[in-house]
Amino acid sequence: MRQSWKISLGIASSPLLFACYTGLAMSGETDGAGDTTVAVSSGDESGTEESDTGDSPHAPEVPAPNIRRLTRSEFRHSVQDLLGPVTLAEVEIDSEQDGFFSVGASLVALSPAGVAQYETAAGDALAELFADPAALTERLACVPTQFTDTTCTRNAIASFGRQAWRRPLNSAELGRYLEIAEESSAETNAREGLRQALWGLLQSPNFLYRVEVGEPTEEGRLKFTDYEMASRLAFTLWNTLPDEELLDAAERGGLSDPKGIEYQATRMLADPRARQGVENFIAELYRLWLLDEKVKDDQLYPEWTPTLREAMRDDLLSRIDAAVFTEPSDFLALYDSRVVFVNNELAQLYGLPPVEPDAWRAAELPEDSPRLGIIGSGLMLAKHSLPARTSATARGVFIAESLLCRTVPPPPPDIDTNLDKDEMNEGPQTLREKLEPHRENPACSSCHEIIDPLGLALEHFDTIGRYREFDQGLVIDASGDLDGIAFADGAELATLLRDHPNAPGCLVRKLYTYSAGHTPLPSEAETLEALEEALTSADNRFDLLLLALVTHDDFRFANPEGTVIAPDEGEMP
Amino acid sequence: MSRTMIPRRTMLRGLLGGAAIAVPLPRLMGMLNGNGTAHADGSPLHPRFITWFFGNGADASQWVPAAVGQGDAWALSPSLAPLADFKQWLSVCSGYTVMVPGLLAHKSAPAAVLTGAQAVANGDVQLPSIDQKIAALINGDTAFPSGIHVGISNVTGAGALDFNISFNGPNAPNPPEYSPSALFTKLLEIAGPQAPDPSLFRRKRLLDAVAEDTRQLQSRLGREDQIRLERHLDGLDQLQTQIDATIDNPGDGADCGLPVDPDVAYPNRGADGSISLDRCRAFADLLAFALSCDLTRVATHVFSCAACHAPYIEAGLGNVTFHEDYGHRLSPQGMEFATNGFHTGVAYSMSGLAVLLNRLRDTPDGDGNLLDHSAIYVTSCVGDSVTHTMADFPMLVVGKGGGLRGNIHHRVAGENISKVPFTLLKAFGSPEGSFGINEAQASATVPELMA
Repeated sequence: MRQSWKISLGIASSPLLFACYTGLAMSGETDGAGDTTVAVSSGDESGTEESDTGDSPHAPEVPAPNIRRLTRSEFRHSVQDLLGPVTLAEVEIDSEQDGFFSVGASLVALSPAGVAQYETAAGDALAELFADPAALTERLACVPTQFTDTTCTRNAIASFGRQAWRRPLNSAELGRYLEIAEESSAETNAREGLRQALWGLLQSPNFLYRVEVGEPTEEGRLKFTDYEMASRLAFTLWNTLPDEELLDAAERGGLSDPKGIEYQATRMLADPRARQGVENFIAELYRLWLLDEKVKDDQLYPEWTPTLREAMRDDLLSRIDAAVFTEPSDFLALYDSRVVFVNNELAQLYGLPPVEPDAWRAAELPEDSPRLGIIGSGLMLAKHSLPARTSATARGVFIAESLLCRTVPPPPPDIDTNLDKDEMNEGPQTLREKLEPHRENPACSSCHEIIDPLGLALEHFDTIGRYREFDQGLVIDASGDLDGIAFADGAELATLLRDHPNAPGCLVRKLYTYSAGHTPLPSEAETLEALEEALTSADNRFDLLLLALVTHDDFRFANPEGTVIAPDEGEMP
Repeated sequence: MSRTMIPRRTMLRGLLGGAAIAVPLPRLMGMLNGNGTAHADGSPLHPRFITWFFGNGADASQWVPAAVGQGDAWALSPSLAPLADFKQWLSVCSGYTVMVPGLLAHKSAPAAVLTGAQAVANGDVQLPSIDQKIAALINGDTAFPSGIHVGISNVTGAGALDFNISFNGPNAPNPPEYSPSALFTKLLEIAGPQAPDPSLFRRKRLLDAVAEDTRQLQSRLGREDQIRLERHLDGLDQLQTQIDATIDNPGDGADCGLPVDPDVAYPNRGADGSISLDRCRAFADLLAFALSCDLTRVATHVFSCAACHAPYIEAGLGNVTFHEDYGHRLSPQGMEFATNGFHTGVAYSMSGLAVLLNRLRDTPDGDGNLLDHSAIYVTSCVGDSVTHTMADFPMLVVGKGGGLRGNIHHRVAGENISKVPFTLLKAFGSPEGSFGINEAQASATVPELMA
């Protein structure tokens, strides 16, 4: 069968904008809460306009799905599922687009050097496994000892291929790799022949890309096949390949309806790999990879150590893990929670007592703590600061973009962004005073009036996230307002964020973008609303949001109900 | 594969004190015509092209030489002082302006100088970069048709074009290799001495099977995915070419000599992704080897990415982000300290460039050296890093490849910067009538740069 579909998502050609947008970025409409308004238009995240071909107002055209290259994290987890804990060489870097590697994975082509990196990484990993006969026997369905042992080789290839490619190999594919194995084994030995075939399976785009493109239904929608559903479920919930049980369910046709999917998804969420899946979402959402390169002025902040950095990361991930898995509860409560996870090094930064011997532990901040929630975590405060001082702008942009889904464009050109000009020599100023010119200059104020008050609320925390009373000896004013509601400091802001009408919708939007690999299109607005409803009616439990996501009609079909896929000419390049 | 590799008998291997060192020799005259200006079979001896990029811009007051003109009429500026040994190859192009609106700080400008077009909002480009346009003209019959792409710092920049400066088109970057060891291994595999190895034929057979898989999958997909997989096929084809080159290698090491092993020569160069001049030296050796052996004629070199946050520790600027403390002058030690530090950092970047120029100059090539036969396009992500201005943008061309004149400070008053890459594109034989689109489009060259 030969199908071709228009694939353009159009994200890459979003208009360039200066204006700041204050509403929940969602296809030009509000979520019904009616609280926020579009002050200055259109810095939206909503992707392309709907096509206006005019055939039927009820059937807007939407682009078809892309194949997605495995992210580095998906690749690593998948290879280790297949081969065990092997060493893996670097493969081509992920591209973050619209805030997620998963979006870049849907858009960006692999470079020629990247193809070579996969050849090397897969070859070395297989060589490591094949050097260990016991591990090899454990990993493969059969290990041939003679080159005449065709049945064994065939079984090993078919079984490995089904797991690696998330579907059975067809007869031509099986024949192709069996021939590879036979030719190579005639020249060397049966095991080497098999290794060659497996090396090919791991270099194939059927392994390296998520091929989830669907089959057309009679109603003109594209429905993901059962095997594609297995792949979607596994990468979304586990960040890795499907297991045997999931593939068996696909083989039985058990993943084509919500009930079968719910059964498997419930099982999968109880599996330890679900923690790996959520951790990867959080790592992409909060861009945790950037923490590794965060430097602080080592004269001023000798406390900034690699171990402190790691503890900050683990603190955040432990909070998420506890709220999603250990004791499933309101995810948004994390926005102003007093619960933290610490070792003694991080406890000291948080002003909590040490324990002997040092241990990784849950702890509670005092009831009147000025530090609350995710915005008060060491990780967020330190990551969104400069080497020698805080950045209200970076912190404010994080809150606006990551928690409220508000778009903040970069500063316009020919603007001096330096706040520390001391030509006037007026003596020390607080950051709030330094930022005043930003908010007076009309070129800056439309954005800075939104982001600065949010960031300034956290001025009681220095560049490594430690509490302070004063900034350069001056009293800190951390007050401000969020959409007209006043707050006195960061703790009050944290609670406003938890209760903000954008909060659940923004979380849904981020998860949807991550899972779908594209910024939501206008035609997906109803899906987002339904998922937000599912989240709020489940007391904001993230595990139940995941369940709602993967059992939603939109997760089984490439295009929403009531839309049609636009075919293209499908010419070969 | 019908492709014939140009013989790479341009290096001889020597042993000194027990350590293997590579001794670059001129391309043997037997390979070339009587006056060393073309191959013996009459095919042209292509000039080489390198894009060399550094992040965070420059301060025009320190960067732009005081006098304009040719030869002794001008002298190097403080920022360019590290390039003193290479003045006769140096063309300073000052007063040029990036014409696209600077909507995206550190992103619009590099996209414009590299591709001749505005960036798109998520940081991608609209057009191929200059190195890829030139690679399409001159590099198709080498072992690296898409070129070799290396990087020193792998620390992110302020949301700019990821880490990339080479783009085959939209959504088709060539990310840099940060590991000299990995590149060394690759070059040694292709060009180093070796015994005949039957496993190479098995690798080729396997790549054929993978390519067959790829084409079958391609036929099921929409056009954009077909194009993406076409690029995947290009990668498989490049691997096949490299294995062919390995098989064709006579295996006695005399064909191309040995590349310099960075782990032997520069054991203290620092981790992959960190900035040090030894890392620049390691890559300079490998690039000179690859260019000299005609394994590629095109390369890119990222010293630091657009708006790079990395520290310049070796330059004495501390473990702080160069972009913030110095680029934006935010050092807690005050404006004067920050400004001086910024100037130090820009000159340090130029020391990294000098390392490469040095190696190219010292590598004989045809009737001269590699620097004579290269054009190195040097630019950045912003004019002045304090204001993100796009005026008086840092731009150098180094080398005399393609007929460049060298030893000139050519200053204009706010002209379109795309004229400079367009000049290079024409120097490499492009039939195109312009470079870039919309505001950035240039259809006139800079004749002053040419001999």
